[in-house]
Amino acid sequence: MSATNALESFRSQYTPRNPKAGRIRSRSEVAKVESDLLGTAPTSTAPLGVPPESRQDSREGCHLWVIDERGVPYVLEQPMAECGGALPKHTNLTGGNTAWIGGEVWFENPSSLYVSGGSGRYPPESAEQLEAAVDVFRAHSYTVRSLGWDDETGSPRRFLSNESAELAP
Amino acid sequence: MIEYVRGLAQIARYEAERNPSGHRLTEFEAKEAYGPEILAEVNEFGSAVLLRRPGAASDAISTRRSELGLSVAQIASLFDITEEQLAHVETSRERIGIRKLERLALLLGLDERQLAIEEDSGADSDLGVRLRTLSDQQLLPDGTLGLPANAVLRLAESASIIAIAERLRSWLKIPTDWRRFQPDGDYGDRESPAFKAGYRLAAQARKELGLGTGPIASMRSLVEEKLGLTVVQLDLGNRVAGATIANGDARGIVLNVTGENRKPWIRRATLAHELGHLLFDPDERLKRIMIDTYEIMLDTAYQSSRDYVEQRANAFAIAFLAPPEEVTGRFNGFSPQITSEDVASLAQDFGIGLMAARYHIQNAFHQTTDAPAVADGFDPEEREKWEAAENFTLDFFLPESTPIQRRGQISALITSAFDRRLISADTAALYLDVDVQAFQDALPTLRSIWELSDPD
Repeated sequence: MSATNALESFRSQYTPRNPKAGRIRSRSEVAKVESDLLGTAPTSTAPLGVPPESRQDSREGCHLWVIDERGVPYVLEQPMAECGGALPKHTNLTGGNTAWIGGEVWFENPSSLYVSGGSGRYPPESAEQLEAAVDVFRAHSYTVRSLGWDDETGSPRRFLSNESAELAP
Repeated sequence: MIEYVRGLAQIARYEAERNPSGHRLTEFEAKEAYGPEILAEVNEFGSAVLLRRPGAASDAISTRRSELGLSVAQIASLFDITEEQLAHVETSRERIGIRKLERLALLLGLDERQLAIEEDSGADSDLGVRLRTLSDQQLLPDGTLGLPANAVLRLAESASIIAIAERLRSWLKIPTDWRRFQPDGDYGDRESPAFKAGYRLAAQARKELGLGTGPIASMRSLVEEKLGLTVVQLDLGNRVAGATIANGDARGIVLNVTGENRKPWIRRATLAHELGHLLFDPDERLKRIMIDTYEIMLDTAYQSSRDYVEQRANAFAIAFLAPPEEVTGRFNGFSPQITSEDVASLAQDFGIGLMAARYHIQNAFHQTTDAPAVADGFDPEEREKWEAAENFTLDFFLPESTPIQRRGQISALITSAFDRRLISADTAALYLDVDVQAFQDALPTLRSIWELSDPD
């Protein structure tokens, strides 16, 4: 399936949502930042990294992503002037507007990446929705490793474990 | 109402429709255990990683098992887990849910909240090492062989119970009177035998607690409710009478309900003896855990014991239960002789043993008076009265599946903490070692037993 079709399929299957109530604490968190769009920006220039395996590991190279009307915009998690010097939030990608889903992505190399559904503002509604979003990444010709779903907490896993699945494009 | 749910590796906001299988937590207990930064991360990203490193939980369990000197087979036989499963947990190959792991952690004397988070999962390793010295590989202070595996495990579990009770008291802002007592290094000397120090400390304790010189209606109630010390009553076999446990800053007493302690007057004496240790022995003597066998406890002619620490504790116990001035006041000027009925009435009025009463009278009169033995036993009605006062929740409790070691005042603390939304039903059930539904069904009875008002 092409990236465009995968996006359309995802967006038709699910409903866009406003950010979760109570998460936005200041205007700087909805200031729209410059972001790259998956499939258009060269990921060879994206800072590389891998997800942490535990709390002690680094999050270096972590990018925040959402699926919205434009596709899959993403931004490196580093302090930004537009965010008042703070780290960007998922709502900085959307300007506080609706999105279908959000999470974290690490580019291991230009052709493979790790995806999580870690977003408090546009969280995946289910494990199935997260996997459907992962399919969108795969449709962009990446080898994708999804961090998966943690049944004990009913939430996306945000660390790399031996249960994180690798999905070839 | 915001709630959280904890898995082994991460914590998230609780959302019922997602049907999470982990441990549900109130916002209060989540903040207490993991701190506001973690909860802020949950807010931001939907969840926060807690896992210190892969394998941290399994290593902590394996380390603790080794510290206790127990084999995989021994622990598996006492816990609803196969040897294979436990071995795999320890090698991180078996995925066992957080709730089962937490239960195992409590059984081993670990802090279940820190499982996989702190390197040793909240273990007091000094306690673990001390427990190992009590195992059947070693000799006890009285020269007998150490304890079987299940007794060592019950003591480890008692350490968890004591720590949990301490934490809940702190959250409920319940004062703990025992902390105002200071250790006392006087164990007697050639001029002044140890028993005199025991008598002095008993008088001091009664005075500080405002007890006067009359009988103590319930030692259990006095120790748990007035002093704020946890008493864990459980089956420790036929040799051990009781123990004191220091787990971190928490202190408590373990009381065997089998063997001689089946007699309520012996159990009262054991509790008073352990109290004497706990209030007045310096921390270095408490050594995380000290056990007393029945041989030590029933040394009613305590001067014969070579151990001055135990002499003092024995003297403290009898004088605390039946102040010597009460004895001399009751019998002074008796003519012509103290009778066996007099001995029996002292025993029954103060809830002490008949032999103990006899020796106590003789000691109170400095061996110048003969107190006869009592041929008949304790009056059955009197025995029942003392049994009821000391047993209390051991005899009737809901949920019925609650192990006896969790039926003491800790169950009152758990119920109160739940009613004030300091802990969740999942946590309450874990601490009582029952399933959640059983806890919720038993709530009205628990409130009634402990005279707690319905929060609604």
